[in-house]
Amino acid sequence: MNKTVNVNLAGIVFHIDENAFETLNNYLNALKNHFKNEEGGDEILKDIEGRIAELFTERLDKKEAISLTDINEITTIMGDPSQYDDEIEQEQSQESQDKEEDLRKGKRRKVFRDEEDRMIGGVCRGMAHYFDINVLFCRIIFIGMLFLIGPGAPFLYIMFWIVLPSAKTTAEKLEMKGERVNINNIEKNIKKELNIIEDKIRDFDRKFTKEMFGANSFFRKIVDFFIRVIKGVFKFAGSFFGIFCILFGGILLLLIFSFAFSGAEILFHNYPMVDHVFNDFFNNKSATWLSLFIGIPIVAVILFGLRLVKNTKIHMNYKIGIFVLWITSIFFLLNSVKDISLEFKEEAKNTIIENIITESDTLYLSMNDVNRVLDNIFDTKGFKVTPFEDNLIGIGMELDIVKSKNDNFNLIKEATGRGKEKHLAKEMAEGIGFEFTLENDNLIFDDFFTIATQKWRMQELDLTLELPIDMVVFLDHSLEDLIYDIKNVHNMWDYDMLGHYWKMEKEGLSCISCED
Amino acid sequence: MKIENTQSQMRKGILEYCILSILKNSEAYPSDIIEKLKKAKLIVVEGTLYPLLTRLKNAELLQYRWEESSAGPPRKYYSLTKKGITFLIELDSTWKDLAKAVRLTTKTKKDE
Repeated sequence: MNKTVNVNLAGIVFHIDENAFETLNNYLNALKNHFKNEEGGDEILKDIEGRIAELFTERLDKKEAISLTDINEITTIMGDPSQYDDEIEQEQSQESQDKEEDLRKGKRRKVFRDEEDRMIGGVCRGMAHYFDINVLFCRIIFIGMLFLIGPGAPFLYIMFWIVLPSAKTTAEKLEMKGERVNINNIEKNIKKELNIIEDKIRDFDRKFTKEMFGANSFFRKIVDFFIRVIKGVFKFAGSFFGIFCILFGGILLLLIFSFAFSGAEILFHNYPMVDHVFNDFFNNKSATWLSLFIGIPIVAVILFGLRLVKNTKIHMNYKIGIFVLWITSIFFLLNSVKDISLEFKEEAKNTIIENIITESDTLYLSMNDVNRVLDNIFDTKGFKVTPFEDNLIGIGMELDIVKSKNDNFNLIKEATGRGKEKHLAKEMAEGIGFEFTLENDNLIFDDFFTIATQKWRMQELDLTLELPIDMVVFLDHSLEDLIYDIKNVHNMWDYDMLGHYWKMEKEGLSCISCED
Repeated sequence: MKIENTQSQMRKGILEYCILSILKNSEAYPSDIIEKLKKAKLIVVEGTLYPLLTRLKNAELLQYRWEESSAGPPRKYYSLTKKGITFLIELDSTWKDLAKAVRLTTKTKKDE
C-alpha cells in the first residue's frame, strides 16, 4: 500500500505515490536549479513539466496513480541536468572559468578605492575590502592615527587617495571584493601555520615559506598591500622627479645649444681668455663633438624624466645608437685634446739684452698705466696672456733685480713660447716684444708685452734688471704686480720692498731708506 | 583540451541546424522533434531539447502556437519565423561548405 499525493503539472492534476513524488520533486528542483541562471529558465521548466504531464497521461491509461518506476523511467527519458551540459554545453573557455574560480576564492584580490560606497575617497572601504575587515574598524584606525601622528593622517589618507586606483569596471570590483578572509579563515591559517612549524622541525624545506608567504596567506596580503602602496608612492614621487629631470635637462640643453651656435661667449663672458682659447682651439667639428658629449647625457636625463612622467619608452636600438654616438664623441674629443696638447709640445726661449745708459746713479723704477688691463678684465684665470681691445697681449711679466756681472746696467728680456715644433716655438718666443722708456732718471716699464703672432702658446716673459754695484733703484708702488722674488740682504718680502731705495752692494741688494 | 568540449560544440551547432530543418516544411511540437532527433541519435535525453527550443524562440528564429491535446496538457507547436527561414538558408549553405570541407580534408587515398 502506498500513500498518494496530488500534484498539478501544467494544469493537470495527477495522483502520484508519495515516494514517487519525492523523486519527482527532487528532479524538478534539480532542473530548476540548473536553469535558474538561464534566460527563459522558467519557460524551459514549464515546457519540461508539460512534457512530463504528457508522459504521465500516456501511462495513466491503464492505472490511476504514478509510481516510482514511472518517475524513474520518465527521468531517464528526460535526462539528468548534467547530461544537458554534455550535449549542449554553453560555450565558456576553461581559462575564463578558472579566472572566475580564482576570483571567487579571492586569489587575485587587489586594492582599489571603493567609490560606490565611500565616505570621503573610498580609501577605507577599499582597504576594508582588501583585508576583509569592517570598514568601521579601518576608519577608526585612520581617526586614531589623527591623534597619534596629527596632520600626517590626513596626508596619508590623501596619499592613499592619489595612489590607489578606484574600482571602475565590474572585473575590478570583483577583484576588489574577492573572498572573505574572515576570522575563521585567519584562525585556520594560523592553525595551519602552526602545524607547518611542527613539520618544519622535521624537514626544513620551502614548503614553510610557501605557506607562510604563499599567494593566499594573510601575511602575503599585508606585504602585497605595502608593496602596492610603496610602488604607488614611488610612482608619485617619480613623476615629480621626472618633471624636475625634464626642466633641469631642458635648461641645460638650451645652454648647450646657444653654446654650440653662438660660441662660448655666453658661458665665458667674464673670462675673455678662456673664450679666446676655446675659439682658437675648438673648431666647429670639435665643438660639435663637445656639444654631443655634454648634450647626450642631458637628453638621457630628459628622456628618463619623460619615462617617469609618461612612461614613454625608447626602443633599445635608439638607446644603443645614442650610446655609440656618445662614445664616438668621446673619441673625437680626446683626439682634439691630443691635437691641442701637441701645439704645446716644444718650448723655446728668446733672450734680448738691452743696455741702459744713464748718467745718474739712482733710477726710479715704475710702471705705466697700472691696472689698465686688469681693471677691465674680471679674471685672467691664471693666464699670463689675455685679449685686450682686439689684441692678444701678455700681462704676466715678472721682474727680478740681480747684481750685474760687470759695470753694465742691463735689462734682460727672456721670452718663452711653445709650439708643435722647435722652430714654431721659437717663432712664438721671438714674437714677444716689451717696451720701456727712460726719461732722465725714470725707468718706466710698459704694463704689457706684445704678441706679434697673436696666438697663445703659453708665452711668458721674465725680466731681469742687472744692476752694477753702488747703483741705487727706487721701487715705486706701481711695481706691485711686476716684481717677483727679488733677493735682498734683509730677506724682505716683495711687497715690503716697495717705496724704498735699494742699493746694490757686494752682498746684494740692500735697503738704504728702511728704518731698522 | 577536453574531447567533450569539442564534441558538444560540434553537436550544438548541428542540433540547432537540424531542429530548424525539421521545422522547415511543417510545424511540429517538441515530441515530434525529439522523436526525429532520437532516431538520428543526435540527442539521448529529451530534456536537452527544451532549453534549445526556448533559446531559438528567444532569438526570434522560432515562434509557436498553443494547441489543445486530447492526451494531456496543451502543446506548443513550433514553426520558423521569417528570420528563422533566412537563418536556415544561410545554415544550409554553411553546412554544405563544411560537409565538403570535411569530406575533402578527411578523405584518404583508399577512399578515392
